[in-house]
Amino acid sequence: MIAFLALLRDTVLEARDKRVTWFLLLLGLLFVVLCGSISFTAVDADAALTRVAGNLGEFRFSRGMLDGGFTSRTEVEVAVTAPRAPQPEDDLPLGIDSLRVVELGFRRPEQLDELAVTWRHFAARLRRDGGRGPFVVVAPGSDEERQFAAPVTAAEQLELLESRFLDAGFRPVLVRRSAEQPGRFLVAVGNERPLALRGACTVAFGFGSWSTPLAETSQAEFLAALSVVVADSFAGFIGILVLLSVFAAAFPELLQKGRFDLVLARPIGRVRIVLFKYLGAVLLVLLLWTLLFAGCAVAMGLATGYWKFRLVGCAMTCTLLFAALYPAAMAVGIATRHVTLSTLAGVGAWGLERLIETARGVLQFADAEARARWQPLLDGVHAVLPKAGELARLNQWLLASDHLGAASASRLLGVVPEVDWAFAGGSTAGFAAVLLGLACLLVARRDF
Amino acid sequence: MAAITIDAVSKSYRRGEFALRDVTLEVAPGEIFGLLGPNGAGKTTLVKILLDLVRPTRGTTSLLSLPSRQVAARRRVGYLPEDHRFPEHHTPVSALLFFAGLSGVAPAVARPRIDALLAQVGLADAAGRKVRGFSKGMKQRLGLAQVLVAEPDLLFLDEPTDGIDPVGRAEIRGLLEQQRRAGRTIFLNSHLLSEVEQLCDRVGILARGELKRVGSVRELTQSAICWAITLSQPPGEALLAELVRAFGDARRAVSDGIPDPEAARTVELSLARDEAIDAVIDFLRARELSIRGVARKRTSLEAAFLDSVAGGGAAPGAAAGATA
Repeated sequence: MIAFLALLRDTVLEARDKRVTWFLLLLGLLFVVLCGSISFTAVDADAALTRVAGNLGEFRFSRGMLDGGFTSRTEVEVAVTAPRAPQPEDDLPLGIDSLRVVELGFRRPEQLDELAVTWRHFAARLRRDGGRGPFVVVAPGSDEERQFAAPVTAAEQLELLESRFLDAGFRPVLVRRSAEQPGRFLVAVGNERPLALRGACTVAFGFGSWSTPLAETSQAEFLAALSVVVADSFAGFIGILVLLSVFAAAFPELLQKGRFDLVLARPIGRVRIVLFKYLGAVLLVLLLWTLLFAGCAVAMGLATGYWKFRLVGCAMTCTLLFAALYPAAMAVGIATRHVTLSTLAGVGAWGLERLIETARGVLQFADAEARARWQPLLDGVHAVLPKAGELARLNQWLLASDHLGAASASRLLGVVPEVDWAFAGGSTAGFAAVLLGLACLLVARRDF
Repeated sequence: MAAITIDAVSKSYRRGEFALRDVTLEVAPGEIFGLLGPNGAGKTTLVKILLDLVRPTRGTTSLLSLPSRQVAARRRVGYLPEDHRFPEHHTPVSALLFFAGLSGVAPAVARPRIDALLAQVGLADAAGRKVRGFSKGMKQRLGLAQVLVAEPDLLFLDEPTDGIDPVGRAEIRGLLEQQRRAGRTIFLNSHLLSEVEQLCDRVGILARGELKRVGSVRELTQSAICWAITLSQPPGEALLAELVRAFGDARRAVSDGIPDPEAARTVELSLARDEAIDAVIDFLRARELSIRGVARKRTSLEAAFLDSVAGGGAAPGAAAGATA
């Protein structure tokens, strides 16, 4: 234990000695300050209600911040009354606070049916593959086409309108059809979760020095998006690159003539040195990310009252990614004693996995012959590489299930696709274990 | 029980080159043993085999009765490599805490020792400075502190005074004498023959991977007693040949390339016994040769070293005279 603590302290001192570590810490501090400097100013929930009611024909689907999305517009002419408080004649249930009511009048009621059919397509696509796959042309005369072409029911119309307001962040939503006037609906919405309401506030950064309206985004979505930037773009990309370059240098430098002798002459086994150095680096990375994410979560909470502690869980995901890639850098660093090659090995394993993953995605659109030729090769290579993409999905899962409704989470972060976690985790751990074993073997067998 | 045991150790590389051939040696506890040898003789390889940094092709070694391959064998060992490099992100204090930690010494125990050691090696004033700014001499002093920080019983020192000025060398010799008095065993690799001569109880001479000679400094320097006989005129080839036939050895003295008329008239002989010189004088007088001087020369360690390395007799001219 004393030897492990000595090596851990050495790892900390070594990392502290590098300028790039300070650059990373400074950048992390900037993110913490940025999170702590955010403030929201409510604009008007009624304005948000009017805007949603006026844009019923627009379906926006997001596969997530990283994967883009698509928008569909259907022509709908609808008259919207000004939001008002509920009246006794509205006959709304009692006990729901702060309901606001608008009335919608479809000038051409058949447009609502067209909108419902579009919605059917959307829903079917989401059910099929979470909207990630290519467009599928429905075969004429198929069961699916018959389902899409079936007459729109009254219940379906109500369900469609309800979903549009729920999707905008209103809770609860009550939709009622006017018995007297066809194509006229009464919509009553609550604002139980103002943070989740889209388009109802402006956001200011730098302690109020710069602000912008959040047109299509709720406070919760905005903060979730910021969390994704911190977790995926900063920590999960820039941070991993910097830390791989910092720690990739550790073994080539340790193995320098005259330096490793000093360590090996001590009563500590060679394999233990390698494992302790690895463990020390991983623990240090975990500590760094935990401090960064906790700092961001606390700063965000203090500034906005929105405590996003699941962000701290992303420290584990980012550390797992580092822990999976670092053995590649270690093995090459020990074999070549070259800092640049060692860094390239860690980053290269990551880049290769991303490349293969992209190629597999592109191959879905290729013809059957190309798929038959390339798919086994790409799948084989992908199987042995660490699953960086799947680990990033863990971040999505953590952030999507925090303060966001299912619809908002799906809109912002995308539908987390089905992942075979046993295979992804097993193959990633296997990759790390094999390279770590190779690193140990190289050190154990070599003369120094 | 020997502090160091080396039993028939050989080390060869893939290209068939031998670094060590069948080296066998024992070093007793409390002894200071000096290993001499030219560059590339295999001295560092032998130390690295003892510390399990390099694996022997054949043979076994043990430290303090434990096989070198066992991690526990290094528990009571300190090592100062030649051309060592300290991690540059350390200060002397953090470096010594690191190496003490690797030896299983807790920081609370190590800290007072470190303060005392840094004062002892003259680095107390630089305790908080980064190692990267240190001179070679300072690094060497820190290296010695690193050896002693875990209070080992057995010390391996490869060129410990390398890069240190004469005053510093004397201080380090004092430090090593202190370790000897504390009962520690020291295995010293050095090019500095005078240092080895002053410090070591026994010396081994390694050349081309073979241990040529082992013994105390006195044994090595007295093993070849040499007599120099100065005649009235330079000896002829016939006389030298007759002397070789009669006494087994005879040669002209060499004067390091500097013209020396007396050296030209001097014959040198290595004799097994002191009494044999009488017979040599009788031999010369019987041939009516006039003798101007007779001197008994004691071979220096350097001469013994050069002799062993060359694989022949004691190198002439390297001998320091001691009149009989």
